[in-house]
Parts: sequence; C-alpha cells; structure tokens
Amino acid sequence: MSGDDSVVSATGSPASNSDEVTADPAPGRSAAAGSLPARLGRYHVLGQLGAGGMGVVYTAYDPDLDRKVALKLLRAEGHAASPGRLLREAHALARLSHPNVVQIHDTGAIDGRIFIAMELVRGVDLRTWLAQPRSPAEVLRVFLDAGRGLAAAHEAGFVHRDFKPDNVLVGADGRARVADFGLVRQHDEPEGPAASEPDRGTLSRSLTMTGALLGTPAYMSPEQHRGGTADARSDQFSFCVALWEALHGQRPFAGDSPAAITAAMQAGQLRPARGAGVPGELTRILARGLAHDPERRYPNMQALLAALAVDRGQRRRRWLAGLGGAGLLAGLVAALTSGPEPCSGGPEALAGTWNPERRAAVGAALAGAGSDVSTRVLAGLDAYAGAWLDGHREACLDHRRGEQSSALLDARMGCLDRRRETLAAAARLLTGEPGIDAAQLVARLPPIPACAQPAVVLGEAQVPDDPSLAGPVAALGAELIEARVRLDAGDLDGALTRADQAVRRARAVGFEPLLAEALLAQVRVLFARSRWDAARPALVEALTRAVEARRDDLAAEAIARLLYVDGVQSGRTAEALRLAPLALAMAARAPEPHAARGLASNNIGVVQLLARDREGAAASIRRAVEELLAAPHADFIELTNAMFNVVMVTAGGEERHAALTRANELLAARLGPRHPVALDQRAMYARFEPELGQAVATLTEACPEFLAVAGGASTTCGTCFQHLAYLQMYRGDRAAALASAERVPACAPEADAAGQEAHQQARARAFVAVHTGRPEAALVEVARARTWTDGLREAAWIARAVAELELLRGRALLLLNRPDEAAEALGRAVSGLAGAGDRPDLLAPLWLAEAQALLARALLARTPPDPERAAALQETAAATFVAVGAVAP
Amino acid sequence: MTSPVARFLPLFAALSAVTPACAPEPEGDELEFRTTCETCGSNSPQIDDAPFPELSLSGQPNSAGVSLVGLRDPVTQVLHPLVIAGRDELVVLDENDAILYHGADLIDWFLVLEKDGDPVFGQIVAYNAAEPALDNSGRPFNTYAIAFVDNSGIVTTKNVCPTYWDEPTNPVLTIIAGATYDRVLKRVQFDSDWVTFACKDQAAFKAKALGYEQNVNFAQTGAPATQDQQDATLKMITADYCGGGFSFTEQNTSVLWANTAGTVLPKTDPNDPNEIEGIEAVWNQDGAICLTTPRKGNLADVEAECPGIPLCSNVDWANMAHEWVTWKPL
Repeated sequence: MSGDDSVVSATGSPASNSDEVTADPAPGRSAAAGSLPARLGRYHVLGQLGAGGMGVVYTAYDPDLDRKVALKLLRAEGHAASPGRLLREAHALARLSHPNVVQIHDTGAIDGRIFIAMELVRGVDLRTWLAQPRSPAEVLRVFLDAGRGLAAAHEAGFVHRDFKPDNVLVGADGRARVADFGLVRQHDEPEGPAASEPDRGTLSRSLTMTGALLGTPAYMSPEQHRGGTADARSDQFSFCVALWEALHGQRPFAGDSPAAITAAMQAGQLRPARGAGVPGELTRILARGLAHDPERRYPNMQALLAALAVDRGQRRRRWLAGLGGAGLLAGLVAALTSGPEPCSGGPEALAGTWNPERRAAVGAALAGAGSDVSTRVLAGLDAYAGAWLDGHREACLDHRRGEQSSALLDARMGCLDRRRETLAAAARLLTGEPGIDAAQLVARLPPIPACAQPAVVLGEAQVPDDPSLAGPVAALGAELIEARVRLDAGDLDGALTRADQAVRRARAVGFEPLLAEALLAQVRVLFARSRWDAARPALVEALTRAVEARRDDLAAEAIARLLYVDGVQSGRTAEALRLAPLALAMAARAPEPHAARGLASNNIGVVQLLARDREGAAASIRRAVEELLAAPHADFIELTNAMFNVVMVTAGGEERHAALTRANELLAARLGPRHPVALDQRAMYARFEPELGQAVATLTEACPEFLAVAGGASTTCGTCFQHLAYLQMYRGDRAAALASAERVPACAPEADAAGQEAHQQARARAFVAVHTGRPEAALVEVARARTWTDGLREAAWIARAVAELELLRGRALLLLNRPDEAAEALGRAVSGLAGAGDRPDLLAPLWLAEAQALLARALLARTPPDPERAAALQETAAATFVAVGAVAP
Repeated sequence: MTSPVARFLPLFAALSAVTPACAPEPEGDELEFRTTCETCGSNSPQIDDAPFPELSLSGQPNSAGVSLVGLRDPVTQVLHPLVIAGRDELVVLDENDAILYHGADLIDWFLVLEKDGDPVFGQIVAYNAAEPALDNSGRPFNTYAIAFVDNSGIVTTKNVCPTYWDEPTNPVLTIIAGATYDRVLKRVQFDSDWVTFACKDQAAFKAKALGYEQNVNFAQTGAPATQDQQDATLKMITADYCGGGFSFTEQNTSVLWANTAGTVLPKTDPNDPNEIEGIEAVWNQDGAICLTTPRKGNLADVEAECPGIPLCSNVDWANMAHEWVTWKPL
C-alpha cells in the first residue's frame, strides 16, 4: 500500500474527525522536481521535463489559453544569433500547424531569455517506442504519420535538417508528431553568404544540442555531410535512414566514422536488407529516398509517401480481389488499413476524387505546360489529397476520443466534403480545359486544416430549416465551388457565369448565408476584372446579407473590399476611411480574425496612402502583414500583396530590398518563378528597389520573361518595358531605353484590357517619338494615351499616370518651342507628381525631377522669363538626380 | 450545528438543513470502515463554532445559521461586499465596479460572518494562485489561508480548515462559486447565490482540482461538467459505492483514477501487477456500477449495505455509460 494510506493525516489530525473522507491520487512514478520557478512570464511552472545544453524544458500551464504546455527556456548565453533573430525563427515555426508536427503555441522572451511554448505530447520519442518489438506494419504507420508532418513542414517552406527518431514523438493516442524543428529554415528566407550570416539556424542549435550537426551524422544526407545546403530532399534522406533502421534493425550505410558512412553513401552501398517480414518493394522505395544525388530521390516527401500509399492501395485492392499473390507489402498494408486502426475510411472516401488514373490524366493534360508546372501541380494535388486524408482521420479520431460533439464532427466532415468537391472540380478543370492557370489553381485550393477549426466550420455549416431546400442548396454549393476554381484558374468568364448563376439560385432559394456567399463570389470575379462599378452594389448587398445571416467571415471580407472600392477606385478616401474602424471591428468578429484583420488593415493602409497619411498607412500595412503571417491559412497572394505594400511605405533601402526579395521569393516558391503573377509583381515593384542599377537589372531579367510566357499576355508586360525604358534613360543608356520602349507593342493583348493596352502602346510611341526628335508625333500619341486615363479620372491612383503623360507632352511642346503650353503641361505634371518623394519609389521622384528641370527651361524660354523660379526648380531637380545617381535625360 | 432554517432558503440549502449532518452511525464491527461519521466531526471550514462550508452572497444563513457579512479592510475598517472574479478569486471592487484589490492584496483582510446575531471574524493570511490541478490540463487554481483566533485553547491562531488547524498560513481553502455540496448524500447542487468554501481534504476541493466544477469548462465541451458528472466524481472520491452517502474508505487512502473524457489519466499503468492490486470500481452519478476491489474492507461490507453491485469482471463496463474507473494501488 502506498505511503499515504494512513488513518492519520499528514497533519496529525485523526481522519475520523471528518464529515467526509476522500481519496487521494496515487502518486505517479515521476520524481519530484527540484526547486522550480513558480512562474515564468504568464506560465505557471508545473514541473521539469528535462534540461540540456540548450536550456531547460518545463511542463507549464498557460492560463490565457487554459492548457498545459512544454516550455523551453533557452539559455541566455551561447547563441550566436541576436534574440531578435531567434525570436523571428521561432515565430516562423509557430505558423506551422499540422497534426503530425508538435505545435509551437507561443514564443517570446522572459527576462531576456527566449522561450518557446509548445504542445505537450504525452508519449515517448520514436527511438524509445521502437525499443519495444513492433511489427513492420506498426512501424510503417508511425513513420507515415511522421512523414506527413515533414511534408506539411516542407509545404510551408520549412526544412527540418535534423530528422531522426529522437525528434519524433509518439503520443499516447498513437499519433506521431515531428518535434524539434530546431534546425529549420524557411525556404523562402533569403540565403546570404555563409560568412555574412554566421547565425543561420542558431535557434536550432539552441534547441537540439544533440542534433545531427553535433553528433548523429548517421541520419545526415550526403549534402549535409559536405556542408552544403539542406533542402526538403535532405529531410527525405534522413527519413529513409530512420525508417530503414526501424525496419531492418540497422542503419542503411555501414561505417564507424562519418567518413566511412559518407563513402558508403557515395558508393550507394546499402547494407543487405534483413528485417523480417519487410517486403523487398518497401526496401526499394527506401533505396530511392537514400540516393546520393538529391535529384535521384523522390521529388518531395509527398511523392515518397504516395509511393508507399499508392502501392499500398493497389496491392490491397489486388489482394482483396484475389487477382494475384498478395505480396508481403500488401499483407502488411492490409493490416494497416483493414485491421484495428480506427478512422481509416478516408482513402475509400477520396478514391473517386484523386486516384492514380485521375493523376495520370492530369499529368497528361499538363504535358505541354512545361515540366515545372506539371511537377508543381501534381505534387500540389498529391499534397492536398494527403492533407485531406489527414484531416479526415483527425476529425474522426477527435470524435472517437470524445473531444468533439456530433454537430462539430458533422460540420468538419461537411467542410472536408466541400474541399474534396473542390479537388474534384479542380481535377476536372485541369483535365478538361486547356490554357488554364494550373499552378495558381492548385496553390490556392482552400486550406484543409481550416476544417479542423470549430469556429470556421460551424459558421459555414448553416443549413436551411426547410428540408426541401437541401437539393437546391447542394446545387448552389457546387456552383460556388465551380466559380471558385475557375476564378483561381484564371477562367474569369466561366467564373462569372457560375457566380451569376449562383446568385440567381440563392435568390430563388432565399437562404441568406448562401446568398451572401454567392454575392461575394461574384464580387471576387468582378474585382479580378476590375469592374468596380458592378462590384460595389454586389458588395453592399453581400455585406447586408452576411450580417443578417451572422456570417462574420463574409461580412468582414465584404466591408474590407467595399472600403477598397470606395477609397481606391472611387477616390472617396475620407468616406472610405470612416468605414475603417467598423471594418476592423467586423474582422475581429470573424472566426479566423487574423486573416480578416490582415485584409482590412491592408485595404485601410492603401486608402491612407492615397490620402497621404503616410504614417497611418505604414502602421496599417505593417499590421496587415503581421496579421496575415499570424493567420493559420492566409492566402499567399493576399500576403504578398501586403508585403509589397510594405515596400511602398518602407524608407530604409536595405530593408526595402530585403522585403522585396522575400515577397518575390514567396510568390516564386508558391507559383513558380515564371508564373504570370510572380512575374507581374517582380516587374511592378522593381521601381521600389533602392538602387537604380538593381531596378534596371531586375527589369532587364523580368521583362523578356513576359514575352517568353504566353506571349506576354499581361498589361504588366507593357508597363515592365516602359519602366525599364525610363530607368535606362535615367541611367544615361539612351539606346537601351529606346529599344525597351519599342518592345512594348510586342506584348500580347490581354483580355479585358484593351483600353489600358492602347494607352501603354501610345505612351511608348510617345516616349520614343519625343526622344527621337519627333515632337508632333509624340503629341498625337499622348492624346491617344489620354483616352484611357480620362476614363478613370475618379480613381485617386490615376493622377500619376496623367502626370507621366503631361511630362511627355511638356517635353514635346518644349521641343516645338511652345514654352507657354509646355510650362502649363509641365506645371500639371509637377503638381500631379507632388509628394512623389514621400514614397520610396525610384520612378516618381525622377519623373518629378525631369518635369521640374523641363519646367525650368520652359520658364526661361517664355516671355517674360522667370529665372528665379527656374533656378529653384533646376536646383531641386539636380539634387534629386544626384541623390538617385541618375542623369537628366 | 443545527440552526433555524430561513424561509427562503434555496432547495439545496434546505435539504442540507433538514438532513442530519451525519449519516447514520455504523453498527458494530461489520462496518468498521465506514468512517463517514464516527464522531460527527467536520473537515469543512469553520471559525470557532461557525462552520461555513457554504455562504450565501445575498446574506442568507447557511445550514449552521452562519451568514456572510463581507470583507473588511484592515486599515480603514470599511466593510466591502465579497465578490468573486474569474474562476475563484476574491476581489474588492470600487464604486465603478472596477477591481480595486485582488489576490495577495487581500492578505490581512477580514472575512466577516455572522452567527446568531454576533460577528465572527477570520483573517486572510495567505494567497496561492497556483494550486496544482489533478487533471491533465495543468490548470492551477486559487487557494487561501484564512485563520482565526481561538481563545479557548493553547494554540490561539488556527486555520479555518479543521484538518490543518495548526498550519494557519497553509493556503488549503478554495472557493467554488455557484454550487454547494451535500456532504452527506455526496451530491452537488447549483445556485448562483451560494458559494462553497472547501478545504483541501474535502471532496469538493478534489473534484474541483480534477476539473469537475461549475466555473470551468470541462474537457472541450465548452460547458462545465454536468451535475451527473460532478456527482459521479463525488461518489468516486468518497468511495460511495452504494450512492447513498456512505464512504467505504478512510482519509488519505490512495486510489488510481481515470475518467472517460481522458482529462484525467492514470499516473501509472493500471495493468501493471507490480503497481496495482486490481480494478476498484467503475462509477456513475449513482455510485459504483461495478465493484471488484473495495478501497477499504471487503466486498461483503458493501454487499451488506447495498446488495447487487456486480463484479467488474462480470459486466461489460467499458460499454456502459460511466464517468470514472478507479484502481487500487498496491
């Protein structure tokens, strides 16, 4: 009997002197911790889990979120990186959320020491778990879990760099989670030279002092042994080493020293497979993941997992059908899927939507799209299908564990059903219609993890009271899915047709939540079409319906977009800004408030920028980025939009260049470097580079890409060459500038942008004419170019485009010796470009300086001359040219 | 301990008042482990002879005739209403209902009660914001040490919790708003006007530590544990197999426990024969739905009190609705 089994209490009072006798908990085996801090920041320390070179790990209670966490408190000393750097790395990690990754909940500093609060997993590490006898089926199941975690991390842009059994936790619930993303680095983080960034990955070293770099080379990939850059394929290698070891009882490469092991790796000398009951096919799959050359491994973790899963499914079907000798792997996997493992119905449910046949069809349809697009799209769809299976399993397991109500299970499964239908619609589109934007379609598939968020799914789960409406509502839901995938695929006509149809159906059904959703779907397409006049009434109605239907997510999006239309496209900045507090308040009510606040803050910031509230704009836009980064499933296009907007309000050149690079790399990573959207943004924002030479270099590389991709069917193509022409002219490279301007007409026409395109071409011709001594022709072209800008007089942003034309016109008039008219035009240009110096933009200040210099000449040429004002203008212009390192054209 | 019953006592208070304070005395040796009420002592908090296992915020007397007056500022001597903020924290508000004092600010303040028209004082002498939970959440809660001056004996300053009388600064008292506990029938009753003051060795305190109380959501249900869940917990803690209020145990007897929601997990492997003698019982709101190894005594004792509780090996208890499973450690 335990020690406190006594009739006398510890205080010496007779127990019988009580009106109730109560049990005490039996003591656990864990030894009492030594002296512990009672509190660390807001955390109540409950016990010590461990300590090492990196610091101490406590169990702690988080009163704000009402849960127990593992709290890592890093040592104050011994980090090469600054606390800010460590914190940024930790913040980045906290954005990663997946059932098979140990979740980081919070990071920060307590008394100057960095802490990381993370999910407390009850269980053992994988090495301990493997110490017990395990069947190959059990081993594979746990590794598949861990592999899904790694794949999710890679998808989010992280590399683990230290995957090994010690860094995987197997919970009491049987779920494996990858832990200690200590050596992670985001893919999209710019990678500087090693010498200049000695602290790269320091958080990791802090976290994993026993990490691969310091003591377990057996799991390291050959490229890591060489000191090269580790990427997702390096993790794949480590994963395969660990799985091989788990199955065969020894690591795949023999050797007593790192040198011997690397020699074996290089030679591809795998030890003989000796695990009992391990099928040869499984060993062959692992051998590919263990290839010395990363190019010869699977392209990504999803592909490796799919190799296992596809094989599993095929063999199982064969086994079930009795069509052949079921191999050992088949038996093994059949045990996995048809055995006692609960919640294994996902694969069957998904089989009709994503299967080898469908995958092959998509691959065939994309054959002409280039290998980059094809690989990217297939990997994206595989990953999406994998995430769906994870989500399905988790929803089911949560229910089995009694952690959620039946209503919540239904809502989660409803959400997953819609995601599966979206996947099906995407696959149909990919195989059925040529010329669609496959990369964006896949990159913007609605996130699966959102289906695990009760607030999100319960909000979406509203159904009409009248059961007879179930059919029409389902049809409407399908229409909305179709509209969404067509919008993301760039089929705006198709998307608008579906959205219009959805609005009509929703009106007929009279079910407000779906009417709000349909109206907003319509608005999104109208935004993509820049049809602001049509978008506004739809937005107002969507907002009203969303509020009526208590769809806070839709209401928040509607008001944020309304603010943008009014403030940016209608020029009613003051009116729009009056909506700002309401937009933020509505965003705060959204089930996922970070993304909603991000969108609202960004739009508010843009309006503030147009209203010349530079400080307010900077604060709003920076907040937008913070919110979107904090959002678990923010749309990456919205995120990069906000990041580019930050560039426009960042004064520091170095910081601006870094922000630009980061945003461009994020887009390139998600869509591919030659994707039109990635190209558009790279071209549009090059003018915000701090250095004239850098901006010219970026555009010189980017602009021809437009012509290489789909013939440059983007208005940004024309803008790109025109901006390049100006920048080259300001650098004194006149010949190159004229050549660039002459390439503007080579850009292919873009649907729905005929007016803008005519404007661009006329402007380019005017530029060439005015710089080649043909001022009359230039005036004609400027007048043509004005047609488009005159039609947009109400938009606040058009003023600069008009000023740019006035500059060309003024120069032409000056050449024609019409100084009075020239002075008028240039005066308008100067006034339209007023405040250009407020933005960290290269072009606008240079246009302003050019206009000022020409105006000075006009003022001197006209009668009577105004030498005083001319001198002042000349001086200001010269100062700008000197500051930027430019020459006056 | 008996007192006049106020006319407007809520139902649960009335029940407490009219039910004998102790269960019937066990007879002879056969029920020697029924330690529920051998001497009718109490481990409920009390100041002298004024027990306050529960107090009414509106000033109604409890079953012992004790009513709440308020909290008195030791410096200004101004009396303030007793207010509970959050889960279980005593606070003093200003005229705008903003919190003026809380937590350790209230050390040295007096808890003023009234019994038979006379004031009764206890003094807050310690505050602990981190009393550890007994469930997996790790969610700590607040406890207080309230002491009083007893002029009748040698030791004059005593903890209001009788079991801890000689540790006046030990914070072993917690507050549970909106509920009272029938310590005889081992059931909880809800009423927002009433506040329970529970000592560390009482079932209400332990149930709270296990996450079963009105002021905290249970598991991930978004709501507190239901009355049935809380009753089952009281039955389990007090070894009330029969459900009528008898406890087949003694104070400080250890037991290994786990609930169905998984918010309380056994601290050792219940299947480990080196640690565990065997399954004790499986519990619902009416007591044990099956019983194999009584905490104290033997099955015959229980059988004599309430015949018919099956052995756990004879029922498919895993598929029967239950709240707790307990095992008897070696």
